[in-house]
Amino acid sequence: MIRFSQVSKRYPSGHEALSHVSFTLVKGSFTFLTGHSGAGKSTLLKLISLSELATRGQVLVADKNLARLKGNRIAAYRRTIGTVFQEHKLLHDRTVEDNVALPLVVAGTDHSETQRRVRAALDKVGLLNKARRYPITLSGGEQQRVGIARAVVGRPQVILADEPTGNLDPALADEIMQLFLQFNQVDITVLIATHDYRHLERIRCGVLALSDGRLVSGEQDA
Amino acid sequence: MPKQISVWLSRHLQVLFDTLGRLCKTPVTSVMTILVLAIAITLPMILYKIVDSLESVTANWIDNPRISLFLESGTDADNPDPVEFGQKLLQNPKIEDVQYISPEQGLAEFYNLDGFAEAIEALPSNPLPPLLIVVPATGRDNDATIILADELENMQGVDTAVYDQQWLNRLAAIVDLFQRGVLVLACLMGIGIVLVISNTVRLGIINRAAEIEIIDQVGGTHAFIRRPFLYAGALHCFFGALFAWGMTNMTLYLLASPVSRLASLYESDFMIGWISPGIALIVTAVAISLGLLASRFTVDRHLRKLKPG
Ligand SMILES: Nc1ncnc2c1ncn2[C@@H]1O[C@H](COP(=O)(O)OP(=O)(O)OP(=O)(O)O)[C@@H](O)[C@H]1O
Ligand SMILES: [Mg+2]
Repeated sequence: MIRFSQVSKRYPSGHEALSHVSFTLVKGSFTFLTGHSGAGKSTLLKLISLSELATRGQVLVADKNLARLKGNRIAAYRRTIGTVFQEHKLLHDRTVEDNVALPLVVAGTDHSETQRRVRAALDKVGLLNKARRYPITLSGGEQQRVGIARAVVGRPQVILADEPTGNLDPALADEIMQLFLQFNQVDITVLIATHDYRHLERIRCGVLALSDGRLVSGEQDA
Repeated sequence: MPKQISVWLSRHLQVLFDTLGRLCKTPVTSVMTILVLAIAITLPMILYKIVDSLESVTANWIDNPRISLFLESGTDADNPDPVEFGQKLLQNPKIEDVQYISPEQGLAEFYNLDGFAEAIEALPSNPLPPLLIVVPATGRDNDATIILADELENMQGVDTAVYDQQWLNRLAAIVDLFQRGVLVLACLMGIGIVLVISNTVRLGIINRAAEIEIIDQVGGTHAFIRRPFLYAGALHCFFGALFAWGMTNMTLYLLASPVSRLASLYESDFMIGWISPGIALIVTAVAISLGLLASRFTVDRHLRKLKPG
């Protein structure tokens, strides 16, 4: 599903955030991406969500070479990826349900279908009763869950999550991990960046470990 | 197919109402922007209307030249009777029509003009000569008309023949100048619209930068991101043009009575009239097109920054 071959990313500042990273994630896999702060976790996820382009090497997702995508193809590709951002990135002048509906609205999904799927997604993250609230009136954990609902509402093939449990208490963090595991049950490929090692012990999954932009453990083929 | 059209329509209507809602949320800013646009559009419209009206009058005068034939005054036996003289002139193939204005008629006309009554009453006798207004058959052929005027002046009993082409030429030159002025003002209007809309859209983009970034991240196309800004540009211009139409007609209304007084001093029933709906429609269409162009250009400049780097 996701294949990196000899991928390097150098930011315009000259800093090489990733160097010669190669790995393959098969469809339906569940993988943690770990590493110290500044190791390049967010950078790796941004290469997959096509916020950044690799400086060298190839990133293939569902057999598409991301470097080749242009214009509306980029937008169409992003609709197949659900991203949970490190800083929730919610729109504060829109209600929770409007925030969650955004990926469907941009995809041109019709109104009743949108309503239905938004409610289903909010139900899944346990926020159905707060659909009409504004994000600012929710706790940090609730905002994080709104972000998750928005990431899954478009039925993506891949879910990327950047520190989704970063500022949550352990019980809530476990709950959210359970959510991701549920999504994984329906054959969605899940990649989660975290430095909460507790999860690694409890959940059976693949691990990609980064250190200073190099892959130090994980599938090194390709 | 009809379903797709209704989906497309409902999506556009939603953006339209959303954009209208945003305009209403910041009423002071919106109204100020719209008024600036309206003023930019009003100036060339007013000048255009004045020039257009002037032109129709001068064209009428130029197309229908007149020679004023002042006959020798007094009851000299050598002088022909003005009416008979006129009949004789009509036999000239170069003359289409002759109209006699007696000294009494002439004086009466002056009497009715503003400010002349007292001066006329102070006169001991009627100083006006008999006047024949000659309509030449030469039409727009200016040179032929001048030759005819010379011939007429040399006839027995004629004092002077006045063919006041120079005055008309001057007027035509002034109209030309004003027409150029309309063009210049219209260009300035275009530049003004583009600048105002670019700036408005630029501020809108800054206000909604976070939203644009998120929409881009969740897979919104550039067309989707662009749409509300295109509507904002078009709506501002639409309301600007609407206000401009109102402001122009109001100005023309305020000008109407002094203009008709001035025109009556020139013995003309010149009137400026109103901006026709046709012209208003064209101006609105041009303004909206410029607004769309300016917002499209401004959004695209921002969208280039969203490309993955
Ligand atoms: N836009 C950017 N321009 C320049 N350098 C950047 C940029 N984004 C990240 N970096 C650098 O790249 C390196 C990796 O950053 P990245 O955000 O991927 O780390 P991370 O593993 O996600 O860290 P954290 O756990 O703190 O989120 C860091 O040294 C960072 O300073
Ligand atoms: Mg990070």
